[in-house]
Amino acid sequence: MVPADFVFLILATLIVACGFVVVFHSKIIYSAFALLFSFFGVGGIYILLNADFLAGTQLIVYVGGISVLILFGILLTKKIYNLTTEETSTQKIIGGATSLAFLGALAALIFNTDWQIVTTTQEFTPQTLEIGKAFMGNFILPFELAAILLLVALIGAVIIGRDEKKEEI
Amino acid sequence: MFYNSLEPYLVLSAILFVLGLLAMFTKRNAISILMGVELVLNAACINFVAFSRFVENGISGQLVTIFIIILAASEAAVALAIILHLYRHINSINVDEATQLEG
Repeated sequence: MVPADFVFLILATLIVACGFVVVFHSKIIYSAFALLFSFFGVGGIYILLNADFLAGTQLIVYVGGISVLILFGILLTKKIYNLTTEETSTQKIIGGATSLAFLGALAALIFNTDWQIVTTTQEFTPQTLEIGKAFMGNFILPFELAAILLLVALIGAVIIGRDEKKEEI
Repeated sequence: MFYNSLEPYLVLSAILFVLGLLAMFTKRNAISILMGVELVLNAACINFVAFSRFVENGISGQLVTIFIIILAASEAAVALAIILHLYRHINSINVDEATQLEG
């Protein structure tokens, strides 16, 4: 066991424990905060995988953006402390059984497939330059499409979220 | 050696994926379902980055992950706008009560 192994175990425990809180806590505000810490742990996993740019992006977009957006969504609906997640027991049983079956199938696949591993030791090199070159080279079309998608989502969210009763801009 | 072999990352992402799936299956609250979707997307991202680190030894998995993050951000923004609108209409964010489109 090298120190990085302990880091991996701590991060994995954080992610899975916070994921369990997200799914099983009955108060939605606690779920939202657990989701924030789960995103944080995923950012740490990216660092272990030598993806430094992604770790930064994860912190900025997920922890700083999406989590806060979800918290705003909860706070803008009334009665936060009584806002429960409202489950029914049939859903719990059927959903739980399906999920467990899926987890079993995924585990069987993971351990029975012969992965074509090409490298286990990789020198850390900063990836931002490579990513920038790829975005301006082979990946320019999806990059521009993503820009258009973000613009469409921004305008769409503003128009949908507007209060209809106060019309006429 | 956990951190430099592929399987631990795949197991972690499988657990995260199943947790997200469970949230989508069992919750009736629209924001909780959105949180389940985010967990599933994060699990997929971990898989992409792990494969690009161990199997491909390049960066195309990371590029796909950046696009997933972009999609997740725009999806969360639009979904929360829809949920706020739904709340103003029916005064609840329980997806079972959104029945206006039912024939």
